[in-house]
Amino acid sequence: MSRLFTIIFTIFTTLTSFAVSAPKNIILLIGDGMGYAEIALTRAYEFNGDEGLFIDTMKNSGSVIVKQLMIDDPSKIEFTGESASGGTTISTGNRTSSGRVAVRAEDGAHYKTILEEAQERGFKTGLVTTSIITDATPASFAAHAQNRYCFTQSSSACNTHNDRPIIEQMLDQNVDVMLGGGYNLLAATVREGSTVKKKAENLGYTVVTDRKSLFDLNYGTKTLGVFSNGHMPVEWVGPGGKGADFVKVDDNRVVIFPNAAACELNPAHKGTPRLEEMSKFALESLKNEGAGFFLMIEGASIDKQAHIAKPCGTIGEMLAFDRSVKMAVEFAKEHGDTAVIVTADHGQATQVIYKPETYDGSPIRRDLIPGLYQLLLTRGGHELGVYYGTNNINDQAHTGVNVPIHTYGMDNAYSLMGVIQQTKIYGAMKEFLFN
Amino acid sequence: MRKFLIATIGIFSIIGIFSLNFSAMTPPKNIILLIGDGMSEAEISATRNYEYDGGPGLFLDTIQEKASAIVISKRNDDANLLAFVGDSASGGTALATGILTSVRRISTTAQYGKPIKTIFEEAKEDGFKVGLVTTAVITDATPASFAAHVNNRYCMKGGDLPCLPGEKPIIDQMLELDVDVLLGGGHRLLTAVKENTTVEEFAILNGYEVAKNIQDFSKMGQSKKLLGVFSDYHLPYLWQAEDGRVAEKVTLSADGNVVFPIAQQCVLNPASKDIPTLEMMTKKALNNLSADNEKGFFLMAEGASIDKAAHDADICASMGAMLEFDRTVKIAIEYAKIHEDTVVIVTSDHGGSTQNIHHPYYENYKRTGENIPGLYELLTTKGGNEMAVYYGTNNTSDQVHTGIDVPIYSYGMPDDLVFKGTIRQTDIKGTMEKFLFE
Repeated sequence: MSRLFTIIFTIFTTLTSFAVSAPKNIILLIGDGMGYAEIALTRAYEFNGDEGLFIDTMKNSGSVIVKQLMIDDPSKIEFTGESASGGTTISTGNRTSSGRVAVRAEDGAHYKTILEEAQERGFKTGLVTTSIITDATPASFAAHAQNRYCFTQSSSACNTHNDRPIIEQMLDQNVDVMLGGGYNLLAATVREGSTVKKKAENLGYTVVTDRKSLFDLNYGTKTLGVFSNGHMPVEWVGPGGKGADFVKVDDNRVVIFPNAAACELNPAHKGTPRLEEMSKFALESLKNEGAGFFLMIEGASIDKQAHIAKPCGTIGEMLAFDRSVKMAVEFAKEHGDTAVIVTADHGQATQVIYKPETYDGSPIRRDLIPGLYQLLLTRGGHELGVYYGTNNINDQAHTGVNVPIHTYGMDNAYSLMGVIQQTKIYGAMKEFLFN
Repeated sequence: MRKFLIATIGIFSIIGIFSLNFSAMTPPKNIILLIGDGMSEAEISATRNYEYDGGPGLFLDTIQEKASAIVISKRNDDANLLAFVGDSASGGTALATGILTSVRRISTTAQYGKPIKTIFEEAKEDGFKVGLVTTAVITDATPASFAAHVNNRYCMKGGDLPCLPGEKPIIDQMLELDVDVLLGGGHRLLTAVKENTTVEEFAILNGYEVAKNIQDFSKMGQSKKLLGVFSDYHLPYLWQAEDGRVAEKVTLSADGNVVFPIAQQCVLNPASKDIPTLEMMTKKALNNLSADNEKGFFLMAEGASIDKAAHDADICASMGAMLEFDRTVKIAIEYAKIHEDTVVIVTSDHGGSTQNIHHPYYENYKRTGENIPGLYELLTTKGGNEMAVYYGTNNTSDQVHTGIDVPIYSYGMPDDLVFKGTIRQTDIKGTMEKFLFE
């Protein structure tokens, strides 16, 4: 009898404590490769260098120290970052080496992620990105792999460490909303023998592959939305579709600077959902009166376009990301008890320069501007020189620079101000969400 | 009527006494503005990585009030057009006057060359003591922007070619403004002609104590204005790489693959021995400016070689200067902690081109020269890790500045004036004015 009473009492107190504590939400927005240089580039192009970005209005700011462990010897530090190690640091509070997704660098042991913990405590969860949905950043929250490229059973990257395919782990994790690129993932075979699409549907997901179908869904639908083959097309391209390139020289080997030209819309982007549209769907779907939700939104191609020296691509994605931040903060203002955290995983190689000069006015030779260069004409009609100097034949490199962090709505905002280690973000999120 | 007059006089004298008393009771207000030349997040990160392996240790990292300042400049061929990169002259001018100008201009307007009043001049006129400390030649663009107005930053002393006809060179203007403390480099300035005499003679005649070496420096006191120059031009760098080299193009093996250099450590530059450091000069300046001073002071101290060494692709020298600057920030904040109404503002004028890139073992593919087209240096950090540093903006002469936000830290600011989030570089002057004059 007294036991029954205890049980009833326990149930009662549990129910009331749920009823009285308001849901808590975290919206974590990661601008991939969004260093201060990529932000300054975007601001220069779109707002004449004025503080016109939404993130410029966020007052609780800090800088995040980025580093990772060396692949061959994890006892050593490498002073740059990468999306898998950076994602892991943000999602688990641990540093790992390049390419590892929420696993320890030494032995591949799994690190529990904030998304997993939130889910165990009854929070709804979501992942939104402009890259393929299995890419390193979203994967770091809902999967564990020693090789970030182990996307599906057929990926050869799965063999190096016998990883379980990331897409299968993400589905088994039951993330409530997953939106991004990658309809090529759907036909892949899964361990059970069927396809990714079948597996998703068996788990109760509605699978959509175009913008209209996403808009037709009721908010709250458990959704796997993949809207492109691989990464999603970017919003902007360079003048005539071109990116930065070597400067040309005349017959006397003197540099001829290109004419400044404006960025253009990318025709291939038409018809795919924008980052803020996907984010809107996720926010409205995850909103609940229970524990709350954890949503990660990634602007993935800020980085991807910088790798291929395409500043207009970076700018367009940066602006889409900035609009998504604005939407997240507006959501937080309206609903309360919602923390918005905006940061990057690592820095990139983009540099804003002008036209190089010589002190004595002698001709500009190619060695004065050895890398890839583009002269853009900004919205305000000014010339904007953009430079990538870290690689002349393939990918531009990440850099080991501090990245920004801005927060809104955190009662513990102070712990993410000033200069902080990237590992600290995880603890601050946990403190906000679970205390 | 007479009674009324007496009453009125009485009231006025009471007000007078009150206001006199009030001003005597107000503690002096001080601004210590510290400028890390070319100190953007990349230069700070590299230094933190080398000295502290990316962990805690920089004093700067302990300052909670941190924001970002947007750096842009104007074009001189058309002042309606913007350039999205600055230099020390345009950046110094933005900080000192709150006005955007073009590169190489010292507190004069873009295209038209009109002088723009600086906060330093306003403070001096209002009775504050003023001081300039730098590791560059004392007439260099950053200090000059506070105390002089010229069309070209290289118009430093009488006879310099960039001076326009009739234009007073920077050192002359600095002395005529009666700047209370001037410490940095520049023996060559002393012998320059100023009117019918030399700069040195003029300074002595006008009540300056002149110092040329560390012995003179240690004797410099509180009673006189100070002009101290401790090297011919810029002060020597504190650090250099142990092999004496800077970042260079990587060499290639016979099969065309990159042969990475052997990791170096940074060592002291022997040439910096017996030269007053930025900390020593800043302490001296604080000591001098605060003596018998009820009004307060404005001191600008610059870590100039962070930028100069980055131009030279000399990472050790840049980091040595960065650490010296960091120690100076600590001195300034310790001063502010024990002196009421002192604010410390730490910022930079513009970004440099330093980049930490991946270690050679990162992803085991062979690299050709085109994979690493710029200048590269590998260092062993204090903690025994290897750090790759890269300068990719120029392969034959100076590395360039980059258009990137720079950090701004503050200490001791009234709550409503603390810099937060993202601000324009040109907003800083107004905030300093509010603190100092309101």
